[in-house]
Amino acid sequence: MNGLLRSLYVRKVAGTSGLLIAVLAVIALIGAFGVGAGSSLTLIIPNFFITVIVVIALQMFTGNSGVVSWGHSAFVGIGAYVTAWLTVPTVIKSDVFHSMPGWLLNAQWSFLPTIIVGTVAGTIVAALIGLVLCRMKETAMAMSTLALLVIAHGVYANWFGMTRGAQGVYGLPQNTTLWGAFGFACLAVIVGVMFRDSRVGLRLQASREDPLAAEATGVNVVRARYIAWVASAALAAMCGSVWAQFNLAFDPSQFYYTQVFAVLSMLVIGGMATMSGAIIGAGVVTVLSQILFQIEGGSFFGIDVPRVNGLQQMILALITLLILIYRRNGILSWWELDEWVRKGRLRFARGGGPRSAPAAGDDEEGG
Amino acid sequence: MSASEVGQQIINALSLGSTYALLALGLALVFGVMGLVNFAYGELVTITGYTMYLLTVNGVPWWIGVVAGIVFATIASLLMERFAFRPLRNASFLTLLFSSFALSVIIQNVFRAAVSPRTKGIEGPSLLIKAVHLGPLSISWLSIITIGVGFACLLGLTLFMRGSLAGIGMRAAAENFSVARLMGVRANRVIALAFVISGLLAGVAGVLWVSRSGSVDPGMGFTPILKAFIATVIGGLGSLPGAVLGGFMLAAAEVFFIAVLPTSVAPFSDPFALLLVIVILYFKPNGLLAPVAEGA
Repeated sequence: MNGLLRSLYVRKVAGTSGLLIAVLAVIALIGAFGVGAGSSLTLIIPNFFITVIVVIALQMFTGNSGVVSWGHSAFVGIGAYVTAWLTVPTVIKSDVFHSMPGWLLNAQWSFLPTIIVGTVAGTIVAALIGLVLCRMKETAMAMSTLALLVIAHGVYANWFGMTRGAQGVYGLPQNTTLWGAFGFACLAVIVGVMFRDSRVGLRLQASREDPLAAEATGVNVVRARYIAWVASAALAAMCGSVWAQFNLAFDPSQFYYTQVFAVLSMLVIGGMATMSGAIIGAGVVTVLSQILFQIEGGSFFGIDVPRVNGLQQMILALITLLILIYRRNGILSWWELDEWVRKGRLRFARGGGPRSAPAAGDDEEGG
Repeated sequence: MSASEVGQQIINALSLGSTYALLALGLALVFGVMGLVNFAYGELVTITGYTMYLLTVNGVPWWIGVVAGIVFATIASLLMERFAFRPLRNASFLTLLFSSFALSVIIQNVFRAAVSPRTKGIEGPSLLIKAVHLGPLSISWLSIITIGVGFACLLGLTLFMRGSLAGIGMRAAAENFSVARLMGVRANRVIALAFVISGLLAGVAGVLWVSRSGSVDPGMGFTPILKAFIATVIGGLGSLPGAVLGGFMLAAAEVFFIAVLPTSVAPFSDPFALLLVIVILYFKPNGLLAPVAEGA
């Protein structure tokens, strides 16, 4: 029995993450070979992979537990600042970080060790905060994550000697390449899918649907939430570390509620119950943002349009609201991409098509 | 710290606390009847502020701007209910929260596009910044007005909720919505009424808020909603007395940390106050005056 379950688990994880990684690989190949140097895609595609990591991080916690977290930007920040402390060249460091201890001043770490330390730092902080947070009721926990966001922002903006305050940090070496970002995005996909279908993940999803019923069947909701919280914060910190070595300079405003809203809207648009939803949401928002950014700047593929401040955010928020009203579970709702493909193939095999419309109604809009 | 300084800080805390309490009440009212933590509530403060700004900058007297600001906030609150939240009745807590978050971003950016992304100053009457000397204390008129308006609103709301049929209906709906409907409380009407009162409170608090800061900017709604959210959660989400208590406690904590912390760590007074909030929630996960859950 156990062996059967395990092989089912492996097949499910491999099926879902395999297809998603294949999709990401196609995008990476476009970035590597299909695009000339100097095109804006050489920036957009690695940034997309980095976004995928943080969306998956949030999906792991909010998507599985149904408890909103505003606090994940705080962990992205921890990853980014630790990375800056470890990688900025010593010459610049003495200029940027006024109260940095000497042993850190001389640190010149490379890509992978930095990311590991950044991730561990975020994980430790999350593990401590989680002890307090995960015991709370859903609403109190949501509020506390918001408080966490504001606290973290307050620390980044005011701990001048180590963060240079609102002026921000600069001078990080460019260690993250397209393939580096792709690799970490794939890692995030695998971790996310493995977690979602794991024992803890399933328990957490049960508690999302009905916390009382889940408790009654023996699920330790607090423990399940705690594990998800720490794991997803680790991914978020990892994302911060990878991002910092791609963006090269940042300031505290980049870990605040504008970013939180962007990530939440990706999750809502794609569908937060699935990994595919998280990734497709990230893709849709990335593409839309680029188009809207062009329009906001006053040109749409060379055509002049009137400048509108804040258009990009406004339209994204409007789309998020419309999705919540008309397709509450996001574009993909409850099924992963590979499950959609299988469903489509089944219908095709049944001789489906437009005429079998009545049969299609039963499984489409679940939940 | 001398006695007069303590007195001064108590006045500060009372004035800040009554603004927070008004904000928190508006949020708690709507949560009570439809389970929505309305994140776009902070934007009602923004709407009040921009109405005041646009009118006063065009030469309209300040007090007309104040009235118009409160009226516009109330209308906006009603419109939010009708077009954004009515289609989402009975949705989950998370869906409602997200949609109000999205709505708040939409409104913020409407102001960014229509007025300006930059901060704009508002000139209030000079009386507000003048101070009254009471023995060793010097208190600004704004603080006195804030405390007076705050307590008048609290009293008015209490009388309304306890004395009028509509108020009793709303309290019943907050306790158990379906049973209240069976008793003849109209769902649409009670929810709309909650949004109207919530908009009114946000408008009044918005006027006080803008008079204190003296400026408006598109992102200004974030701080009020944050404070209101924290106050309602400390007090126990859904409890109206809890919201008031939470508002005053949050203000007291903030004023205390600003007064006590040495200047080198003074910028961290907000983080300290929030840490204290998290500690309170750790020991009272449902808030201080949580309503007793019955059935649903």
